Parts: sequence; C-alpha cells; structure tokens
Amino acid sequence: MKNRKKQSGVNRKVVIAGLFFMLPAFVVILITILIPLIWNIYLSFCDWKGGGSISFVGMQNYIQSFTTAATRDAILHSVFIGIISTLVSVVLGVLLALALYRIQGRLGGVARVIFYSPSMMPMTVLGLLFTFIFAASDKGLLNALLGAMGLGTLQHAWLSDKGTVLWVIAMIQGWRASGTIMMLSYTAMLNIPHSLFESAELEGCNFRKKACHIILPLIKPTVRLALSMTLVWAFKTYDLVWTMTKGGPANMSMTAPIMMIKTGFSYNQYGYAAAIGMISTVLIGICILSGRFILRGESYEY
Amino acid sequence: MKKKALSILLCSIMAFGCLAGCGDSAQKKETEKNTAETEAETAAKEETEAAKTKAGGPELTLMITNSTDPWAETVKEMVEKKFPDYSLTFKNWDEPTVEQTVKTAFAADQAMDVVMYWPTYMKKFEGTGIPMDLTEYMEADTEWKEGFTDGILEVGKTKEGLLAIPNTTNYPMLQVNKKLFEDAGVEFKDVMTWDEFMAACEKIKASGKTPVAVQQEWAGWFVRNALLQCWDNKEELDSFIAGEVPFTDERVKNAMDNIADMYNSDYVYPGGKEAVTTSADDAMAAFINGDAAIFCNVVANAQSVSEKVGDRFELGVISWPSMAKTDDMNNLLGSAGGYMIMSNTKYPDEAVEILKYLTGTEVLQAMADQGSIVANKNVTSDDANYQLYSRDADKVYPDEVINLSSEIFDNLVYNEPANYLFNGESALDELEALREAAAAK
Amino acid sequence: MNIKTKKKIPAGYILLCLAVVLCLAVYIFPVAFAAITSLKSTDEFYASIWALPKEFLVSNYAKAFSVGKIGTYMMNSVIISAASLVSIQVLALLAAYALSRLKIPHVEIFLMALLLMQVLPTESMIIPLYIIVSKLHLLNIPYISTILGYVGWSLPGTIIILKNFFDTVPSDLLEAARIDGSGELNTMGRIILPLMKGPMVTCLIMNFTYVWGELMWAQVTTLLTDKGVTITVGLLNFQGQYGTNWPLLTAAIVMILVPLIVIFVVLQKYFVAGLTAGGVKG
Repeated sequence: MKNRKKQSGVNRKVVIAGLFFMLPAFVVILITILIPLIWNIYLSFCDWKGGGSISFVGMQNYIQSFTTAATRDAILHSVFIGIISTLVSVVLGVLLALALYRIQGRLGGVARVIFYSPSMMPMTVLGLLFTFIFAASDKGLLNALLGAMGLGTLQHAWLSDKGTVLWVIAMIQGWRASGTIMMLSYTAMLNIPHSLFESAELEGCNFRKKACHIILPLIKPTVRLALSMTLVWAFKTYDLVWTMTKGGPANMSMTAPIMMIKTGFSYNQYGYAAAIGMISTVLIGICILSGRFILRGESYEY
Repeated sequence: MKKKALSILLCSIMAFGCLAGCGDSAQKKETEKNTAETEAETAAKEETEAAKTKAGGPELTLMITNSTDPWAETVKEMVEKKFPDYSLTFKNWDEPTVEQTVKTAFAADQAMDVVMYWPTYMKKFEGTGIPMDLTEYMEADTEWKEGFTDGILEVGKTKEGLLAIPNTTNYPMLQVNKKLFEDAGVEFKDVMTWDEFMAACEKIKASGKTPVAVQQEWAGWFVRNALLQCWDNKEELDSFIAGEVPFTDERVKNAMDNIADMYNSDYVYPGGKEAVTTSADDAMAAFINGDAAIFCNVVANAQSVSEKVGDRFELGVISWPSMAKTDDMNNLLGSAGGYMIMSNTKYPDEAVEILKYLTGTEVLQAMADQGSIVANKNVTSDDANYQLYSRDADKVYPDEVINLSSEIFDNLVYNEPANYLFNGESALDELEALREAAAAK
Repeated sequence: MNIKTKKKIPAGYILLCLAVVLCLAVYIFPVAFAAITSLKSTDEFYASIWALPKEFLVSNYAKAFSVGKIGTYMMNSVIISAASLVSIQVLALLAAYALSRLKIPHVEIFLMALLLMQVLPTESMIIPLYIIVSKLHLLNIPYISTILGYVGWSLPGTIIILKNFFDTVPSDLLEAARIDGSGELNTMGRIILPLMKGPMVTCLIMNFTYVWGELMWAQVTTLLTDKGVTITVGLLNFQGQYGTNWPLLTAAIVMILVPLIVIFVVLQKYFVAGLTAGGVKG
C-alpha cells in the first residue's frame, strides 16, 4: 500500500520533469512552426495581397480550392508522388540497410557514405542531372541507352507524358530519400543486441532467414516512423519538380507546393495559398494514419 | 575508461542542455544581449573604418546585379564611386528567388531599396503596394525623362503608376547556324514571314537536322508574338489587349494552330509535342553542337551565345518570324530590364538618386560597351553587333494581353503553347474563362 | 559484428557484394557528374554534357572562390551549423526522452502533431516567421534568426526519431535508477545516452545535411545585411536571367559537399561503437 503511494508520487514527479524537459523544444517549435501554422490557418479564411489590409472572407478560399480543377489535380499529384516515392524509398532504403548490415568492413564503410550521398545533393543539381537523363527522343541518356540495347520501342518522352512524368519524379524523389531511410534503418539494426541472434546462429539460419524473422520485425517501429516522415517530406517537395518541369507541360506535373507558391507569391493570393496548404495537411494526415494502420504492431525493448 | 570519459562528456552536454532548458527565453535574452554587445563592438570598429569614406550616411540595400551579368562589377563600382556618402549593401539578384524575397521582405516591412525587376512584368506586384510610384519624380526631372528611348517608359506603367524604370530593351530574336542553312539549301533572309519560316524548317528537317531549338521557358513567345501580330489593325489589337475580344476568336485559334503545326511537324528540338519541355541547357547544347539550325533567343543574351558558339560555325541574326498580314502589324513582345524602388524604403529620395544614375547615360554607356542594348537615346555604340541586335527595337509593342490579370499572365507566359498542344481548344476556353473573370473585376 | 561465417564465404555473400558495388555505380553518378562538370569550361559543358573534360580546369574553383568572401561565408556557415546542431541535439534529446520515458500522457497525439506540423512547405512558413523575427528585432543580430529557423524546423523530425530509439531501451533500467533516487537528467546522461550514440550521430548527420545546404531561409534572414551570409547564399548564385553557369555552380556545390562528406566519414566509427554499447543488458 505504502509502496504504491510512493510509486504514484514518483510518477507525478516524473511527469512534471517530463513537461520541463519538453518545454524548451516546445518554445522554439511554438515560435518557428506553431505560430506560422496558426497564421496560415487564419490566413486561409482571409484575403491578403502580401501588403495592405487582411480581410475575412470565410470559407471562400476552401470552396475555390475544391471547385478549381487545377488545384484539385495539383493536390492529387502531390499525394501520388508522396505515396509512390515513400514506397520506393522505404523498400530501397531497408534493402540497402540490410545489405550494409551484412557487408561490414571497408566496402560497407564506403557504401554507407555513397548510399547516403543522394540525400546530400541539392535538389536543383539532381533536377538538372535527371532532366538530361530523361530528355525526350534519343537525346536523353536513358533513351539513348534503351536504343543501344535494341529496346527502341521502350523509348519515351518521359517528362511530357501524363503517364510517366509523375512516376519519374516520384522515383527520383524516392531514390533521394532512400539514403535517409537507409541511415535510419541501419542505425536501428545496429541497436539490436547480438544476443538475440545467438539461438538463430546455433540453428544455422542463413542471413535471409535472420533478416525476415529477427531484423525486420525488430526495426518495424523505425520503418513505420520513416514511412510517415518521408511521406511528409515527399509531399512538400518543391525544388525537384521546379527544376525538372516547372509543373508543366500543361500542368501535368503541377503539385500542391508549386501551386501554393504560385498563388501566393505570383498571384498575390496568400489566403488561397494557405487554404491549399491546409487541405494538403489534412490529406497527408489521413495518409499517415492509414500507413501506420497498415504497419501497426507493438514496439520492442531489447 | 573510455566509457567514463564519454559519460563525463555527455554530462557536460547535459549541463549545457539544462542551462538551455532552465529558461529558454531568459537564455535567449541573454544571448541577445551578449550578441548585441559584440555587435556594438564590431559596429564601432567598422564605423572607424567606414568613417574615412561614409560618415553615417543613409544605409541602402541594393539588389541590382547578378553575378552572371558581364557588367555586374563595373556597375557596382560606378555606383559606389558616385555615392561615397551612402553606406551601400549590395545583394546578389537571383532569378528564381527574387520575387519571393522581395515580397517576404515587404510583408515584414523590411525594405530593399532598389531592386532589379522587369518593368514589363510589374503585373506580378499588382495590388501589393510594393513598388513605389515614380511618376512624380519622373515628371519633375525632364532631363532624366528625355534621355529614354521613345515610348520605352510605357512598359513600366500600370494603372497604379510608373512602377519601374527600364535600363535595357530586350525582345526575342533568332540566331541561326548559317552552315546548316546552306546545307539545307535555305536562303538566308533577315526577315521571314511565318510561311517562309515554316518552308525553311521543312527544308532543314529534310536535310536531317532539327530546325528550331527553344527552351521551355521561352516557348510562350511564339504565342505572345502571334497574339500581337494576328490582328487586322492596331485598333483590333488594342481592343484584344484591353480584354474586349474573346480568346475563342478565330484569329487566336489560327495563330495557335500555326504554332501547333510547327511542333507537330517535328520542327522543334528534339521533336514532337515533347519539345515544349526542352530545358535551357539542352536547347543551347543542341544549337552549339550544330544539331539545331535556329536558336530562339533574346537580344540581351545574343552576345553571350555568340561567344559560346565561338568559331564553331558562322552565326546569322534574323527577326522573329511574322504572322502579320501587313508590315505595320509586325509587332514584337518587348521585355525590358530595369529597376523598381520598394515603397517602404526609408530613403526614397536617395534611392531615386541612385535609380537616376543607374538609368542615366553614364552607367548605360558602360553597359552598352559590354554588349547590352540599352534604353537610352544618348548612348551610342560603334559595335556592329550592337546595331545588328538592336535593329528591331521599334517593333516592340508597349502592351500585351498578358497584363489583363496575373492568371492570364501566368497561363500565357508559362503554360502555353503546351496546354494547347496537349489539350487542344479547351486551352482557349480556359483562357477565355480567365478573361471573363478579369473583365468582371 | 561478426555476422559473416568464419571459415567459408557463402556464394550469397559474394553476390550481395557484387550487387552493392553495382548499386554504388548508380549512386555515385550525381556526385561524379557534379565533380566532372565542375572541371569543365562552359563551352565544353554545352559541347558535350556527358563527356570528360579535355583538360582539368581548376579555374572554376578559383572563380567560385573569388566571387565572394569565401572565408567569411565558410566561417558563418560553421558557426550557424555548430550552434544549430548543438541546440537541436540538446533540445530534441530532452523532449524525446520525456516523450519516451517520462510518462507524458497522450504521447501519440504529440507525435502526430509533430509529424503534421511539417507538412506546410517551408516557403509558406517563411513570411510569418520572418515577420516574427523582424518584430522581435532579431534581424540586426547576426546568426540568431537563421539559427532559430533551423532549430525549430529540424526539431520535430529529430524528436520523433530519437523518441523511437529511446523506446528500445529497457525500462527496468530506468525504474531501477529512479528507485535509487537518481535525478532524471543524471539517469538520462549516465544510462541512456551511452546506448544512443548511433541514433544521435544519425540525427546529427541528417540535420547537418539540412542546415549546411539550406538556401531560402538563410537568404531571407540576411536580405538586408552582409553579416551572417552563409556559404550557400554566397556561392549558389550563378543562376542568372538567361541561364545558369553550370560549371561554376557545380564547382560551388562540390565545395559545399566536401565538408559534409568529411564529417560523415569522421563520424562513421560511432556506428560501430554504438553497436557494442547496444549489447549492454541489465
């Protein structure tokens, strides 16, 4: 009895300490993210030209977003790029991490740096590079390669076909993010204590079995987290699309962030831009929740 | 042993963290104070340094040059020398971000005093109150006003006033590879009608080369020029520009079809409709390597392309092909380089003084010497290329339909002809809907 | 880690090595492209985008170097990165530890909020934040506003990642320490952090990549001043009205990348170190 009381006293103290621990981060996040976020929410119900007065217009910006086909398309494109690139990066990143985990030593060390390098490159350079690779006709490197291999029928105007342009962008985005996912999953793998492998090794399991039965289940929380984070990052990609297609041709690759920046900074309709942002936030929230639902499961302590 | 050292290290980090955590705002204030002190120190140090030349004069921030401009350093030095009493900060003008930075600064009431921006594109600032109206300053100084090339000041005028002052004139032109013209048996002509242009393209294509290279950002010039040329007379053109003629008009449709023809006949590098996505570097590479015979360019960039071509082949200059039915309707879209002043500047008079200097004979002569086509009557150049590149200046029409609304602007400048190529006439319906929306305002 | 079998190297392992080497070729491509382009002249670049330069042109580097006060820019970037990284790490560790181990109620909601607040593109956060820092008169103080943005924007992601790794530490370790009456900070520093070296280094690298390469916010906060201009703002300005000087720009990018790679390589060994520490049990 007495013991329990002491326990709950400890608990309350712990929670208070916890709140103190969170306070500094909260203050900084409040200034840099929450206030700007609230500002965007407020703005999404207003009309503002970037200078002069702000006037309240109610739901008008939201109605406009839902009734304008171009805006709807842009948001859908973003969701598409977000989901595909997240899948690509998670699958690729986890596979790379497994390979690195298997291959230690010098090759592993070099590979770690290089597999992470796309994540270090500025988006504009990747954009430039891939514009050259995916250029139409046989001037593009990819088409030239396909031609040389006798696969001329597969040649394609990658960046000006509704069927391919979003895929290409999503793949590049996913490939770039795979470096980050690799780092995270690899770190998670290293945190698995060796003792957990002992029985598997005694039974003479090969690496594939170990990967499937021990490593992957144990790093699932990390993968789940990486999934949500890349989804958010991929959704707001702006530079890559901008350098490669500028959202064109004919709005085929227009995404929500480009649309927002255009309506805000070019058309001076900051309220409308904020409304697009809010709708995107809700949509991404739904995507994350469903992603977490698919990958649900408990986490482990080692 | 190692563990112990590490835990000590971590504890010290934590101690720091505790400090940071214990009172974030207090700590921030302290840092603020500390930095403010060091700030004051450095400021004092700098002041003694600066005292030699600038005795606490007005502080202005200028965003007037880009590091890729050949005249950037010259102009900077000239301005510094001319205004020794001002304390000037020069920021690099960066194409992809200039609009965002200016608008962000203004929202927080920070002012960059003089900013390089295209007078033709002032539509982008409509309703924001960012650019200062310079009408009064211009009217008060006849010497300044009279120096400008006739009519050029019009490009910076909107219904909100004279918002930007041009320093250079700029308009589209074509640079051609004379060798490829010869090989294809095309006669080199300074001026071509649209039909002659298409016939030439056909011959070049038959000779195995691509006729035209144009980067995606500039494909819209075909449309914008056509929309200045396709009308029967100036009155009709003016009423179209004023938003009184629908985009579904037969002549607009014809013009668009002409342009679509050019793409659909594989005349544009690298062929097909896809050519609307050609990047600037790809287009340039195609021309320089002799894969494409005609390069769509602007006069301000002509010199630099001719330097890149070097002695690879002989270059020719031809005017933009004309869809006009009569000679007097052979109009060209004009773009002009220039400057604006942000309306929240603390030193409007000083900023205007700098602006006057920047658009005056002295600086413009220096820029002309570096190959720019400038908007000043008093500047002369003996450079043969200067005469060549500037010969179509009088064809530039001061207004365009893009100025009806920012949406129409955006659509015509960035989204056409791609939209028409891929979606056909519904592209014109979209434009028409935008025109009606603009008219309703 | 001794995963590989001691005597015979299995065929699968060799195949895997081959596959990794093949992948490396694809991954190294962008960096190699940037490096090769940086050694070309503009003429060569347009003449053949993919070809190797005829002679290695170091003048691009010299020019990128001379464009600005490269030393000052580098110094500014180092100061901003160091201050940002330390602040991010400390604040995120505290918050993540609290979320994971200090029995905060409704942690899931906090986590979801941390994720969702990142959805808005930076561009739409910039105007309000810039207004705030300008109202607080932080703009005249070098570095502070730049750092504030970086710290704030990196915190949510870092907190989520670190929280995830804190979750894997056995809670009986903590409870034992608590019963002993050891303070929370002490427990965290003494027991948990030594197990977290790998995750901490990972976050450090990820945040360094972001902070070191960020352009937009650095540019906006130094809009009106010469002080505190970072190396990205100082160097990545070869985009003009009529095109980009790619050889110069890529030279600048290589110069920006080198410190990143060096730091990564230096921090490599902590991945392995984290591993042995991870074996601690009770």
